[in-house]
Amino acid sequence: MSLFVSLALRNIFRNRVRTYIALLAIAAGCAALILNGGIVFNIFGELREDAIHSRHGHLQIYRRGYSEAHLEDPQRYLMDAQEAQHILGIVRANPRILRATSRREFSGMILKGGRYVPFLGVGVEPDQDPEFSRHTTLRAGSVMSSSNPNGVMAGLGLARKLDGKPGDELTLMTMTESGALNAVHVRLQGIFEGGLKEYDDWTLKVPLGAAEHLLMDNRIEQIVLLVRHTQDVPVVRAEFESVFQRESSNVEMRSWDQLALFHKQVVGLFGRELSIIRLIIGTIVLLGIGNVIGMSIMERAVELATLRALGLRARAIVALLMMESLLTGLIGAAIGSALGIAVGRVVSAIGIPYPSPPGSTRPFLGGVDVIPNIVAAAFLISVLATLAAAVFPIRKAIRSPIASTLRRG
Amino acid sequence: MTKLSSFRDKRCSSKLICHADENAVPTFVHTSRNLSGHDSVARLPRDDSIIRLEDVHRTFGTDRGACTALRAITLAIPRGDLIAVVGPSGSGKTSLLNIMGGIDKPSRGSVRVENQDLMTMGEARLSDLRLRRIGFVFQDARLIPVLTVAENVELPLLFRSEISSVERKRKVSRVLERVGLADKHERRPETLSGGERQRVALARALAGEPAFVLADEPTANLDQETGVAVLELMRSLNRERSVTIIYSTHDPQLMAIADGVLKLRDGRIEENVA
Repeated sequence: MSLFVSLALRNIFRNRVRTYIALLAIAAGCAALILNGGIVFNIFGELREDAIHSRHGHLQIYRRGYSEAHLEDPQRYLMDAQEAQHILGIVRANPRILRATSRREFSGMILKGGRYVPFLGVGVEPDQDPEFSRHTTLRAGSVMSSSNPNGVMAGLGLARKLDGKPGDELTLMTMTESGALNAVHVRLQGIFEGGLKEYDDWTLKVPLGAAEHLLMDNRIEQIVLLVRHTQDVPVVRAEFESVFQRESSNVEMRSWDQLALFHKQVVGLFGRELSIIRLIIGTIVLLGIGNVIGMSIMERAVELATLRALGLRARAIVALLMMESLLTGLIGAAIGSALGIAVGRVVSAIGIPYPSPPGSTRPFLGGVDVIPNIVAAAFLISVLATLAAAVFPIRKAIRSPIASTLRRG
Repeated sequence: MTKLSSFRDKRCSSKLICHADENAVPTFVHTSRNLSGHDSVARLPRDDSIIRLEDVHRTFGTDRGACTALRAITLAIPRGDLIAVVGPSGSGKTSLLNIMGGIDKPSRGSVRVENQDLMTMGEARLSDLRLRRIGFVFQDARLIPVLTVAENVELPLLFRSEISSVERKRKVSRVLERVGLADKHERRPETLSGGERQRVALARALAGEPAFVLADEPTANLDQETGVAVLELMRSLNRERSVTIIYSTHDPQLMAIADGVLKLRDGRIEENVA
């Protein structure tokens, strides 16, 4: 190790108590950044998984133009059964795909005991749906299965409007494409809570077969995919887009982050908050250690003036003091990172009980996600704050006249 | 000259001034006093002196107004001599040494070191000059407490890119051997006696083979015997290496070994003796 680096290291531990205070301040700030970021990302993750595993899946495939104009002319953007099967064949062959299913959305009225309640129907494949609804809580009854082709599931809010309970018989009514009124009898098999109030207040999951029977139409509106690892979504999407382009398929794709607008808004809001908290913690670290580093440098003013008298240039003194601050920052940030990760793991093992987040209907047990990017950002912020804290005292030390400083000593 | 003569007489009687002729013009330092009425610098060959000060004044601003530390100092110091700057506390010894070493600038006047005008030099060039051509020894050694003896001596050499690592180590061990501290090169300064610390400071000053060494009261914190030993070491190093050494002291007893003495009082050169 060069004498210069060795000198910087030895200077750091010259006043051990003060160094420990500085390291504690840096480590605490770094750990706070990791924990804060980890908690926020855990909440983001919970919301993301809610959006993916309750409603949207990872990717959805529609007929081209669907996203822009399906509300004006829903019938125009439906895929016929053959086309849907072809696409399902392609996507299911991809090893990154965990599940693929067809869906058909429609609206209508539920008749129960002389009461009419409007609903938004989602025709789903009963055997596939549980995997797509992993974050859906079953409040009563049981999940759908292909063995019960007339068993439906209502969202918690919708069930309350119906005053329904598992086993109740319901009549679903809707308009077919030709404008005729059609109805089917189904049985309420289960009541679910999907986490988003608006969704739970209006949604009725209907077996796809029953939905086709009700609509008198076996066309498919969307194919929904679950990818084994969420981070693979962009890659998988690119692969399928390439395949569909090659085949000149008349389809388009949307990923969960384009569909989950609520998640997007929350991430935007909390992401900004996270940046502000980083700034605040960085400032606290800076002020906390600024004083300690300032004292350490000013206490050595005579020694630094001696080095300058011996011929060390101001930039060498700056390099020495910056090296000391850098090493202090690195040691403090390393301790803080280890502390933040350890505390995060312990907290995650215990769990933090949260009330329902904004817009959600369910409280949840959260934790601290140890995100490498957050740990790296916390580490970097801590080191940069330490370096920034040293700038003013260093500037003062190298600007003070050598002779008068030596005279003071 | 009257005052100078009486000073010499007094010192000769105590064997401190050894080679000055009663009627000789002092040559080791040329001051405005002994060259009164003449252009002192012009009378010296330009290569003969290592440091030249001309009409140097140094005034400090204080809470109670301006305080003048040096007044109208004009002198030239030849190469290779051992010069003592003496005077009571507050006479301007440290201010004079600081200006000679380029760590302070005069309020007025000119300072030349090896024919380079310090007044026109920027901080970086002054640092380089100090690093390569000037050695410093301070009153309380001012060693870096976290470094060993050898590292303290080596530190200034680190910043001289022309000296290789091997050469650096060689210089350090040679100079430590010369000052008698080779066996203590791994020791920390706090484990050394005051005299040993000053010898380390002297080694640090000499390791880079400077043109001259400025030692500000190097014996002030030492007992008489140790102080004399340190000065004798300086004397022998001065002889061996032909390095100019200028040291200040407020103790007239420690002038004996010097080639010349510059006596300051109230910021003025009161007398100079060769």
